Amino acid sequence: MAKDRLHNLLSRVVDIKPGEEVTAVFFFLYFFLITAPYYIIKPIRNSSYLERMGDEKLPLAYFLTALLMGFVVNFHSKLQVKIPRRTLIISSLVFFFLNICLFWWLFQHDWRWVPVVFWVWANIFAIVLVTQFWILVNDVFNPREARRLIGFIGSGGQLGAILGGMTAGALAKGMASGFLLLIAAGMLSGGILIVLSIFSKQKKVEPEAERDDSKKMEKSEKQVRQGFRDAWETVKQSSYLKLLAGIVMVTLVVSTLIDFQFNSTVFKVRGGQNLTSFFGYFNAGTMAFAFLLQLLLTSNIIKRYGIRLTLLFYPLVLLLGSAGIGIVAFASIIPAILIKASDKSLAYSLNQSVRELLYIPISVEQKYKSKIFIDMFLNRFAKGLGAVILWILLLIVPKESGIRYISLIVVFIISSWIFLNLKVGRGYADLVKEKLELKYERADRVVAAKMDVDYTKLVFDTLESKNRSSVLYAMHLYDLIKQDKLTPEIKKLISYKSDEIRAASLGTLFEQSETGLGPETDDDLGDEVLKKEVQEIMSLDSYQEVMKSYIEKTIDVSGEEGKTVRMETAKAIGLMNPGAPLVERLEDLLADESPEVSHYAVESAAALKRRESVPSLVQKLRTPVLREDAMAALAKYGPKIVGTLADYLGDKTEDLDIRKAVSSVLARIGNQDAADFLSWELAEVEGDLAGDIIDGLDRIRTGNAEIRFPEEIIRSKIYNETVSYCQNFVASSHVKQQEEKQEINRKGEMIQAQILENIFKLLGLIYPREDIAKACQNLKTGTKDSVAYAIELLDNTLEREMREAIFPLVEDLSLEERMTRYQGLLACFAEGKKRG
Amino acid sequence: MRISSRAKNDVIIFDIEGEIKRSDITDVTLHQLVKDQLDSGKRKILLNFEQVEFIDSFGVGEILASYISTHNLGGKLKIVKISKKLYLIFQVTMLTKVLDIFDDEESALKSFF
Repeated sequence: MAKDRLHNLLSRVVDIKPGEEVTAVFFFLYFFLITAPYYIIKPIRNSSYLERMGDEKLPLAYFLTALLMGFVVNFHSKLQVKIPRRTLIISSLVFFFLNICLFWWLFQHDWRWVPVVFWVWANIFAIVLVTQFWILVNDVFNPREARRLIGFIGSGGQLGAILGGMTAGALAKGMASGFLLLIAAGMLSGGILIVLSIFSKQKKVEPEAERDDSKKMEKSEKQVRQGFRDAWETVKQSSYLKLLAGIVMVTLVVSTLIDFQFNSTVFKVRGGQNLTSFFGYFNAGTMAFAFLLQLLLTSNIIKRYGIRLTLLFYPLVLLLGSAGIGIVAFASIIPAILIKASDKSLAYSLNQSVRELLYIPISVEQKYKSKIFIDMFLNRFAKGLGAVILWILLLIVPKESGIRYISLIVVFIISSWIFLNLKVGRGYADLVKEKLELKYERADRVVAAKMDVDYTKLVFDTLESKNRSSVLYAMHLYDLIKQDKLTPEIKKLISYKSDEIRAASLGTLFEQSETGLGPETDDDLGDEVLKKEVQEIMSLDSYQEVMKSYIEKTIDVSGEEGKTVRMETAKAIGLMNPGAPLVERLEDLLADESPEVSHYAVESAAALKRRESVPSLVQKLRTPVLREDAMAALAKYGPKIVGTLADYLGDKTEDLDIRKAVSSVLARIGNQDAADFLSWELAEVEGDLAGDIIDGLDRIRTGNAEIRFPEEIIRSKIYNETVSYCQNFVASSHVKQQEEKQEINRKGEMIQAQILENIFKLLGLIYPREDIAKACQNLKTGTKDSVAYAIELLDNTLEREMREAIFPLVEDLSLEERMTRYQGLLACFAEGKKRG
Repeated sequence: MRISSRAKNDVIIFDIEGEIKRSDITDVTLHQLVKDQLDSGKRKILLNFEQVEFIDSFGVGEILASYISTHNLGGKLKIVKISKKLYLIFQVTMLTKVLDIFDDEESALKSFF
């Protein structure tokens, strides 16, 4: 009940799924309870340092912080591989809690060095705890969950900053700083409890993951660790991590320069009037805006525009602002306010959130090391670098128009930032792809790659014919020789010494001792010579006459004997030249009622490739026992009969089994014309035939990446299939009777599964096929995480319109949500169809 | 040829008796029976060849077509208790590179999971 109420409450501001409420709230509170203490500590840090040391000693504080941060990174890197993550995070919180208590005691003494140490310590406090927070977020949430929840979770930090600052501001007048420190310590202790609850919940939900994690920790202990250097090496070895590091550096350099643009403009325009009040209101306003942005818009923006586009928001806004300052300089304060407000609000809301999402697909080890290096060390280093760049610029640019030059430099740096963001967006999509495994290839390709099906069938026919007819057997041997496939293994297999001629048992072959392949002769004929001589004999007119007269006498003989003769004749015709007169008899043999005779006739038709045989072969597609033979035979004709086959495919009066088989033959031929004909027919048909055509197109796509498919037809078909899916779901949900409902639900699920299969095959025709196949296979059979990555892959691959059509079919939605979304889709498509 | 089917641990087992040859087929082929199971959502198919005496090229086509249909839907098709002689022919013709063949039903069933 309480959970339902919580879900109802949260779902007003965040796209939260049942079961996620507690974890989301815990992380919100975790971030709140580490940020709020920092925003109490921060003004104490500033005021105590300035009162004791003066502003001229601030560079010392910056320098010491930057210096010591390197040691902190080094130490943290070594720790994180020696102790489990849970222990590290909780220990860090307890450590800083004790530190606050210690500083509360130290501030009671008037020691000069305390504010200096406190300054450095406060910066380390913020960096370590916030970095650990984001590491845990990355560990717990998969990409889909993170996208939806990161806005809400991140807003905990915003709220902490606002309330922490307000607490310090409101209470500082009435009480000593030390007491404020105790409030901060109290908040942090709340954070410890929340983190313990998070880990406790995670253990219940994913005990395997925890065990794996500690195993990884144990394993990593055996490796040599160099702390800071190891973290640096990790970043250096990955182009993706180098991009992330580069982006962080550029962001902070730009932020430093923008800070100068803002402060300089405000000072020049307001002439030093009421600056404290102005900055106070400005900071409060931007933090409040940042909070609302984070809570209400961040996740929605990421969901709507995807990670790659969202990455561009922040730099583009700053680019416009900086250009504005460059144009108007000190003539107006507005561009300066806008740019600084954008920087402050976007940096810790949208930008922080989307940047954290970029870490999710990388390995656990890389994540820990790179975040330590980038978020802890590089963060401080980049701010220092920005200060150095600013100082150099101020030395070289003219004083009066300096702001314009600096704005130009900022525009230039932001352009490189945008370039880096575009690259990292592509890198993210590639990483997501790598997380997914292609579980299986199309079986037709697997079979074709591993074996020669025609050869296998010929071997079986050879073995079968050995006991039926020596003539047939000899022709099979000749066929094997002709194709250079009478291998030593086959020779061994089919050799036997036996008078037994019982046709039914292959077993006897191996119970006899070996003998030759046929009658022994004194002459040893080589295979090539044999091929040539047989071909010559078959071409002789006299041979044709003898065979013709033999066939005419025996072809109508009934019974087993007659059948064997017709089989021999059918086989023999296939070994002749296409122009031989006897070839004319093939049509009669194709029409033979015996499937064994027809089988040899079909094979011979494939060997001769005469156009006259095509109609007969097509009719064989109707017969289950000869369908496969006929399909293989027609495929061997190749591109020259594509047009003819397309006519059969398009003939709505033709037998459905024939049309379906023809679509498969076109797929086997697999050239551009075949793909075009299949696509055009797809636009006209529905039902089973559409499914066969879609499978055929998928086969072509798998076999030849160069083939192009008409995008309009394919997209239209995808939308039609989506409509069918939704209609099917809605229809099966309306059945009231329980027994009938179960059966209809079962059938409905089967139909929906088939439609979804079709949709993914169609997607594979217009998007990268392997990516779509990975997504489809992992959606069907993957773990919870691989399903999430599959949807993330689709999110990065499909454009928005297609995503909006497909995602309701694959996302994990409740029954009610599904019904609402599907009815919405149906209405949308109906509207689109009306508008044409 | 006679084909009967039974289910065990979500695996559909086809017990085939006699000879898989084209002259014996009338209406329903092995491939069609496998497709019917696939259409009803089954994805694990085991062909029991213990009683199979003879197989011609049509039989090879049926086995391969069944394998392809099953595999393309993410399923698995395997064979059990094939005779030594037939196994030898399967080896020489590379069918063993495509098809998983087992000596006993228990190990065949275990291999699906």
